[in-house]
This record gives sequence, structure tokens and C-alpha cells, in this order.
Amino acid sequence: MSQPAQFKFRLYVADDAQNGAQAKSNLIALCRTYLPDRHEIEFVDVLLEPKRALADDIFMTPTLIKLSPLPTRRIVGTLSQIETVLRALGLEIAEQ
Amino acid sequence: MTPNYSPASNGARDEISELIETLNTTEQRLEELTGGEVDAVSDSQGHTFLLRRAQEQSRHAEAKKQAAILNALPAHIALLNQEGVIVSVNEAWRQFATANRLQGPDYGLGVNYLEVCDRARGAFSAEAREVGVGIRAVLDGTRKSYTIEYPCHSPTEQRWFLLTVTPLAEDRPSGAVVMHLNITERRCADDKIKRLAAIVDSSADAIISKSTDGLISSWNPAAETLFGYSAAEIVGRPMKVLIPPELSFEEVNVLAGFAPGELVRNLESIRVRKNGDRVDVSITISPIKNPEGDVVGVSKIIRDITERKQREAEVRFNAQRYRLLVEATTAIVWDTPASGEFEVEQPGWSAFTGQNFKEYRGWGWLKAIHPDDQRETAKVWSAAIESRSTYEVEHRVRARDGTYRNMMVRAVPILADDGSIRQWIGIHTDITEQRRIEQELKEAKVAAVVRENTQRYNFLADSVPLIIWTARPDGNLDYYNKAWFEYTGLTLEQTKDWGWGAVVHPDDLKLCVERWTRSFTTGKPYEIEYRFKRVNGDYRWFLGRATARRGDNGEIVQWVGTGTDIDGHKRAEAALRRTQTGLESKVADRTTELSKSNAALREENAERKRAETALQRQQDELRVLFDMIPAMIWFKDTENRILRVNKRVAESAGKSVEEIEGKPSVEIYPNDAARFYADDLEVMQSGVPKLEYVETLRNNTGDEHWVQTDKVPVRDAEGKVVGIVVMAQDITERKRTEAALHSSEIQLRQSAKMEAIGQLAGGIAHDFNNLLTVIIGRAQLLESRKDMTAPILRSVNLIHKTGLRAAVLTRQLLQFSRQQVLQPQIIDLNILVPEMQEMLRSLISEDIDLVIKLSKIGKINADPGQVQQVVMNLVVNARDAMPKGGKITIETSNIHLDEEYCANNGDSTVGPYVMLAVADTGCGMDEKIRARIFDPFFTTKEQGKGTGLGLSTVYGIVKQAGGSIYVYSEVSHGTVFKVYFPEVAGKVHSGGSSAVHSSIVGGGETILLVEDEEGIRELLSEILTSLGYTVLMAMDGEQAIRCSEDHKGKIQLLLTDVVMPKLNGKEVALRLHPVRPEMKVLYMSGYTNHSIVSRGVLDAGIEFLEKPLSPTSVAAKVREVLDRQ
Repeated sequence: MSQPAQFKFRLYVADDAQNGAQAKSNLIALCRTYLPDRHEIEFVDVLLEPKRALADDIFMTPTLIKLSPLPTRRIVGTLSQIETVLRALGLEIAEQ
Repeated sequence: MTPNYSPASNGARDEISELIETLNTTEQRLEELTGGEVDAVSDSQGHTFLLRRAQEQSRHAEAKKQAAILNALPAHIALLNQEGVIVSVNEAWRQFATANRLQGPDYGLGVNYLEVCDRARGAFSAEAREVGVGIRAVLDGTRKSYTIEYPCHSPTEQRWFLLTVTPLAEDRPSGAVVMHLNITERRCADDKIKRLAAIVDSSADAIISKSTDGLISSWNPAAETLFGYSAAEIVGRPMKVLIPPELSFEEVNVLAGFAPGELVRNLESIRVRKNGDRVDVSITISPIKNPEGDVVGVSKIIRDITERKQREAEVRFNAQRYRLLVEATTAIVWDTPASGEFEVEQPGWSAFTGQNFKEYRGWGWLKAIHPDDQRETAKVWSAAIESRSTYEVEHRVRARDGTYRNMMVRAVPILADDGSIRQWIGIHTDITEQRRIEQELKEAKVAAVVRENTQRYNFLADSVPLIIWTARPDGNLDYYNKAWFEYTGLTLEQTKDWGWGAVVHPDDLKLCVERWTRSFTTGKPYEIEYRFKRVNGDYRWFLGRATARRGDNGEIVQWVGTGTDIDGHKRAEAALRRTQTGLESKVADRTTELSKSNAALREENAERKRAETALQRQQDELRVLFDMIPAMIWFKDTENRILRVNKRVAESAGKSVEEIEGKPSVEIYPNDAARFYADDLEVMQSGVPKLEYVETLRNNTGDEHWVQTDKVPVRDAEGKVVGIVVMAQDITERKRTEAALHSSEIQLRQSAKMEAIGQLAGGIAHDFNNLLTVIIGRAQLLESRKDMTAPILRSVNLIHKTGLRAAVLTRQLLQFSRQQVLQPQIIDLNILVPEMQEMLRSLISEDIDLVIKLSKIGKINADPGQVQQVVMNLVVNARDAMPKGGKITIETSNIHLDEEYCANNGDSTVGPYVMLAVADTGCGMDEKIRARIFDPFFTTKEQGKGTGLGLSTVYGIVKQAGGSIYVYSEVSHGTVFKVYFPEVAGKVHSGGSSAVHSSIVGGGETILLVEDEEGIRELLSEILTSLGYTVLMAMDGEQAIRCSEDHKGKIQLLLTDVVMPKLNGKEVALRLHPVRPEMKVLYMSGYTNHSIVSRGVLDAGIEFLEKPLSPTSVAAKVREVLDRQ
């Protein structure tokens, strides 16, 4: 059996704004539940690092990018609807 | 943040309004598009636009957060502007300000803090001004920060504050943050720690601690003193550097052993100093716990106990030394409290006197003091206690062995501080030996003086040419000097007391006795002239004088006398007189002298003759004595030649004395000489007599005799062994007697054994008979009933038969135990034996011949039934010895038993006997079996075939009849039993036993039945009642007598048990006889005592029913007795 894939996320937020903070906590909770020990999250504040946002073509925050496994996915919002998020990340099948 | 804008024109204002309108619309549109979940948007150039909602939320959240944090802090925080004015304060400051009513309603907002500090007055104004300086320094940027701890005590409590001042911005002067933190608690804790630290530091004990990793974490000055390490050196190093390697286990898991709740643990051990020295320490270990209760370390208090150890060792050593001293000394060491009573155990005293603690406790010890010394001891002891002074006394103490020993006692009081006696320590020293030696020395000294004086006196007395004597006041002479003995030639014994009279001239004796008696009775001096016989027989004149020596009270203690030879003087006187008396007297004198000498000569001859005769007679007497000695005596020289023998030797050797004397031993004893000589040599060489040894000696006829020999070496005057005397006593006869004695001893033992078993069996038989009476009687009654079915009747028959067999066995037991009641009569065996012939034949099988040989014999006195039993048992025994057939011979004859037989056969007596012999040709028996054949329950027969009582019974019967049994047996040839009955004179009883009643006859008489066994009483009552008799029942003698009194009518018969508690049968009969003289008596018993039977024989005129009883026998006997006239 192959090693379960390692998930790599990057979440863009703007300072401590409410939606970003919500997205942050939702993402952490989701990773703990569904991807324990196989995830990496990088938080990027667009106000502090606007160039990176530009490079990743971010025009709204909060935006989550799933960097791996491929394909890359982008999700905008507070990540409150967990099932939708899981589906978008291609995780619902893996979990069943 | 203050918006920064310049005044604008109206047109511009419009344009701005328009733009804002667009911005609002755009924002609304963006919100709609993103569903409100987006905070910021960016354009392609990377310009991020934070949406307004997020902006507002951010701004509010930040401020709220900061305010919340500030307000949550326990420190009082105030924000000062560059001038030192308070511009903002937090909640804690506000509360603090309120509590201190510090700075008005605005909690000090707007107040210049610097001025507050500068204006401060009172206790802490110095600190306040310092704070002012510090704040200024921070405000003007000369200090990065300023901190101070200062006290700010309120009237009720002590408080400390930590004041911290930090600039608001790092780069430019923009005010400062002042923070007050209440550190009272911390300060208190610190103070506590400091106090503790001070205690630890000043402690004389080393106090150190160890963290959980085993490293030393603290170290006080005392530890430095104790171990030599400074704190700097040792903290952080492992604890084990202090522990000797061999004790390293002590530190392993030092806390593991702590029980829950146990706080400290103590141990004594050894630790190592920096310089390597070891030191004795006591260690107190306790765990260090953090507030949560977890163990975070271990603390140890270590104390140097070297000195204490030394002291302890010293004390121990002293105690041991004291104990050893007490043990080693023969003296008794003891101690008592002030009272002088022994209150605790005194091992020394106990060991010496043998008194136990109970005995010597209190004043009990006085009992061990000699009775004569007790009073003095108690007096001195009480005085010593009274005066609290040393107690010294000598007394005698009874030692364990009962002897009294002289003891020197010395006790000293140990006084308490207040002068009272705390304890007495005393020592008893045994000075018996010392006293004895002293006494001996004293006596020896006295004796020496006495001896010296005596010697001196004796020498004097013996040297003077006088006779000196002394006499006791009663006139008995007790001393003479040497002159006397030389003169008289007598011994002291001969002349002591009045013995001197023998040498006084007979003519002078009377006067002498008179004068002497008068002197010693009156005490007047004694003076006399008299003649004493000299040793050669002639008399010389003496002047005797004596005076009394008186004691202090004038009483006479001794007479001292002298005798002075005045013979010359007297002779001169006489000569003078003789000259004057003339010649005739001279001639006469001469003649007398001549005849005197003649007589002397004759006397001398006779004397010699007498001596020769005496010598001869002595020799003859010796010779006779020599020959008369009931032993053989030899005198041999070292060459084994026989020099002298006595007559006995000659007789034994079958030669004359002259033939033997002078011959070599080997000539007389050719066979034994060598053996004898070996012993002789041993005695002669060792010089030690060999006495009382037993050997054999062959006499002239060749018979061997046992002799007991003594051999003694003979020595000449120089002590050289020159020969040997041998004395031998013939003990052959004694040996024979010993053997005979041994055999009769065995016989005696056999008798004693039988006697003992008999006693036992007899006792049991009595009870058995009572039981069997009920069993047999009841069975018989049942058998006579008409309503019995066949199977039940068979069972009852079986019970009846078995009961009868048991009864026979019981009777046999009684027979051999000689406790059966005998009814002996004169019988003739020559009639009795043939009568049994048929019956005997039926006992033996076809292949055994039965031969009866009868000689003319005398009569015997015995119970015929028992004699039949003897014959039968012997025949049965003979039969069993011949399983393959053979011959049994029964023989009768007269025989006289002589002394030899009686000596060898126990208790028989010499006299005429009638012999009954039963001989078989069977297997015989060896000596071992023969020795046991009469033992009860000994049988050689198969299990179940014999009871082992047959021959025992024979033995019992024969012995009871005064007879004796002789058994001779040879293995595989046969055995003969010879029974000897003493012969008696008289006529054979012809009547025979009373006829057995064939039918049971009853009667109407009244019978008083006395029986203590309930079963038998009931049975007898039933039997007798059924026969028509009236039965009065009594369970014992007393009841029987009451019964007799209550019964008005006649009682024809008393039927009573013999052996009963309280009154026995005979006593009952005797008590009732005067009242009812016509009443007949019938006794019953299974066992007899002496009440109706003497020596096993029924007294004449007594009617007797033997147990076990059967209905038939009871009915018959009762009728018989009632019918008897």
C-alpha cells in the first residue's frame, strides 16, 4: 500500500479580518479531523505580503489553495460548509 | 488617526461625493458577489482593498482587545505623555486609585505623575522622589527602562510594589507607560525564603538537597564545615561523592521506601569528607514536593555523630566491662533502692545463695544469712540506711549447697542531688578461705608456741636427775619425765593414773596411797620416802614431794611432784646401822642373796623352756590353721617351684603335702602349670596382686572344678619379689547353686506373670458373667415361648449357643486365674480317668491310639470337674500335635518329689504326689515354645483353632490344687506332660454331684431377690414369677433390709448377689438372719471375693449359684435349696 498522500495548503487572509479568521479555524479543524498527521498549512497575510498574493493570482481573501496532491484547487470563503469543502478537495471518496 | 485633508473647492467636493457614492456602490456590489465571506479584494497590480466591514471590525476588535488585555492585567498601568501627565489608565489603576482615594474622580487622568512623585511626603518620600527621577530619565530617553521595588504600606497591611517605567516608543520621545505591580505576596514569600535560608545557613547540621536527577542542589555552611566542600564546589555534583562506595545502595531510590504520608526517615550511616576521611552521621531524609505534591527533590539533614558514637561505644564498653567484672569476680554484686530491700533481680545473689527472686525479694535475703548473724546484719544495715553512710558488716551467708560462707559486705549509697539515697551498690566478698587461713595461722602460731614451750619444758624436765611428775586435781597422774621411764622401764600407759602403784615397794604402798590421798583431797603438800622398783628389779629409796599449783581463784589446777633418789643416803644410813647390828645379819644377808640368785637362775631356765614350747606350739597352730583354711594355698618361688602347700592342695592333687613341697609346679600340674605360671609371672613382675578371678582347675581324678583365685606377690625384707602366694577357693558348688537359683527365678517370674494376668481376667470375667446371664437367660426364655416362628427360633438358638460358648470361655479364664469357686473332694484318678475314656476317644481321630496305663496310686483332693478339664485339655493338645496320627498314653503313678525337683520347679513342696502323665508321639516343641506354653492366649495352632487358654487353664487348675506340672519335649519325637497332685489320705466321696433336675419345678414361696445388675434382676424375677414364686426385688443390700421390714409375711429364701456396692451378699444375709432365722440363703456370683469363699474354696454350708445363670439352673437350684431340710 502506498503512503497516504500528504496535503499541502496555503490560506490567504487579510490581517485578522473576521472571515479570514473563521476560515483559518475551520481549516485547522478540518485538517485535524480528516487529515491528521498528513497536512501542512501555510498562512499568508495579503496585507503583509501582497507580492505573493499577486504571484498566486489571489484577488479575494480568504482564499484557500490546495497545492498537493494535484490537481491544485482554490476555494474562497470561510470554509464553513464542510461537506462542500471536502468534496472540493476530493476528500469525500478517500474517506469512504 | 486624524484625517488629513486640505480645504477643497465646491467642485472638488462634488467629485468626492460622487467617488464616495461609487465606492459605496462598488463595495455593496463586491459584498453581494462574495456573499459576505470575503475580507479583502485585490486588483491585478496587487493593490489590496480591505472591505469596509472588515476594516471596521478590525479596528474595533483591535481596540477592544487591547483594552481588554490592559484591563485584565493585575498591574496598575498608566500612560504618561511626554510631560508626565497621565493620559490613560487601566482598570486595575482605577480600582487602586479608588481604593486609595488617590486622585479625584478621573482616577488621576490629567494629573502630572512627576509632580505627584516630587510632592510625596512621609515614610516613603525618598523612594517617590527616586521614582520621579527614573521616570524623567525614561521620558527623555536617557534610560531604556526603569524599575524599582518600593514599599507602600497601608495602615492595615504591608505592601510592596514593583514599579516599571518603559518608553511608549523606542525611537522618539512620546511618553511612557508606568506600571505598578503589587508584589507583596512575592516579597513575603521571598522574606520567608530568606528567613528559611538564614536558618539553613546558621544551622549546625548540614542541610543539603538533591534534585530528582541525583545532583546536589543546595548546600549550607554547616555542610561545608562537615564535608569540607564549599557550596560552589559541590552544587551540581552527584550526591554519591559523599557516600562510601560500599554504602552506595543507600542512595539508590532513596525515596522508594517512603510510605504514603511518611514525611521523614532517619538513618545512621557513614559519609566521606572531601579529604577522604569518613565520618559517622545521622541523616534525616525527607522528600521535597512542589505545590502539586510531586516529588521534585530530596532534602537531607546530616549531623556529625562521631562524638555521640564514641560516647556510646564508651558506655557500651563500660557496661560490658562492668558486667565482666561482676561475672569474673567471685564476689556478689548487688543493688537496692534506698529502702535496702531487693526490688529487682540480683543474679549474683541468686546464683550464690540459690534463692530465687521471690525468695530474696524485699527482706527475703535476710533468710540466707546465718541465724546468728541476722540480728547484727539487720541492725548495721538499718543504721547505714539511716546515716546514709557506707555499710560494712561481716556475716555468714548460706550458699546454694547449704554451707555457710563468711562474707565481707560493703555497700555504698549513691546519693541523689538532694542528698537522699538513690541506690545502694553492695558487694559480698567471700572471705571464708581468708578467715580459715587466718585461723589456721593463728592456731599454728599458738601451736608453735605451745610446742616450743613444751619442748623447752620437756627438755628441762628430762635433763634434771629427778623424777618429775604431774597429777590432775583428782589425784590421777598424767605426766612423768624421762627419768621415770628410764628408771622404771615402764610406759606412760602403764603408770598413768594409779598405775605407778605397781612399782612402789609393797611395804611402802599403803602409806604412800594414804598420804597422796590426803594431799590431793586437802591440798596440803605431799612428802614421803618410799622405794620404787627399778627396771632391773631392785628397789631404791626416793624422796617424793608434791605441791599443788593453784589457779587464779585459788583452786587446784595441777599437782607437780618430784622424786629424788636418796638411796645412797639411805644405804649409808643402813650400812651404818648394819655395821652396828653385827656380823650375823651380814651372813644372813649373804645367804639371802645367794638363794636369790639361785632362784633367779632357775627361773631363767624355766623361762627359756617356756619360750621354746610356746614357739613350737605357735608353729603347730599355724600349720593347723594353714591346713584348716577352706581354700587351697600354694607358696611358689620365682622359678615356679612349689615351696609350701596346705592340706587342701594335697587332697585336690591326690598326693601328700611332702610329695608336693619342693617340686616344680609342672610335675604336679602337668596340664595346667603353664597356664598358672603365666598368671604368676604377671603378678610377680608387676608386683600387683591379682584377686578374685575365676578359673578352672583339674583335680587328680580329672574333674574340672571352678575356683576363685587370689595371687599375691611375696617380698623379702628389701621388698624384692621372691615368690608368690596363690589361694584358690573351690566355687563349683556355688556355681551350681547359682544356676539352680537362676532357673527357679524364671519359674517364679512365670508364676508372677500368670498371677497378674489372672487378676486381670478375673475382673473382666465378673462383668462378662453378668452380661452373659442376661443374654443366655433371655434367649432361653424366648426359646420356651410357643409363639416363635422357625426362623426367629433359629436365631435365638444361635444366640443361646454362642452365649454358652462365651460362658465356657469365661469359666476357663477364671479357672486359670484360679478365681473359680472350687468344690474339691477326694478323688481317685484311677476311677476318674477310665470314666473319661469314651469321651476322650470321641475327641481324637481314628489314626491315634489312646493307651491308659494305671498303677496303684493314692488319692488326691481336687474338684473332679476340673481334673477332667485337665485331662481333656492335655489330650486335645496331644491330638493337635499329631495331625498325622500317633499314640497318646495316659499314665498314673505315685511319685515322691524330692528337694532337687522342688528347687528347680518353683513353688512345689517336697512330699508324696500322684502323677498323671499324658504323652504323645507328635511334633514336640523347642525350648522357646516350651517357655511360653502356659502363657494365656499363646497358641501354636492356626488362627481360630485354639483360644490359647487350654494349657493356661491346666496350669491354673493344677496350681490351685497345690500341684505342679513338668513338661518334657523333644522336637519331632513327642511331648510328655506330667501333672503332680499332692497325695492325700481319705475316702473317695461316693455321693457324686447332685442329680440334675430333668424337669423344672416351681413353687409358691416368697423369695427376696437382691441383685444390683438391673438386667439380671429383671430376668430372675421373670423366671421365678413364672414358676409361681412371689418375688420381692431389691437393688442393693439396704433396700433388701427395708424390703424385709416392710414385708409382713414369710420370706423363705434370700437369693442374693455376692459382690455388690455398699453391703455385700454375705452382710445382707447376716443382717437379716436374726429377724428371719428360718430364711434360707442362696448366693450367686460370677466371681468370688473372700466373703463366702476362703482361698477359692466354698465355705461349708453355703449354697451357691455360679454365673452365668440359666433359667433351668436357677429353677433347679432354688427348688433344691428350698427343699433342703
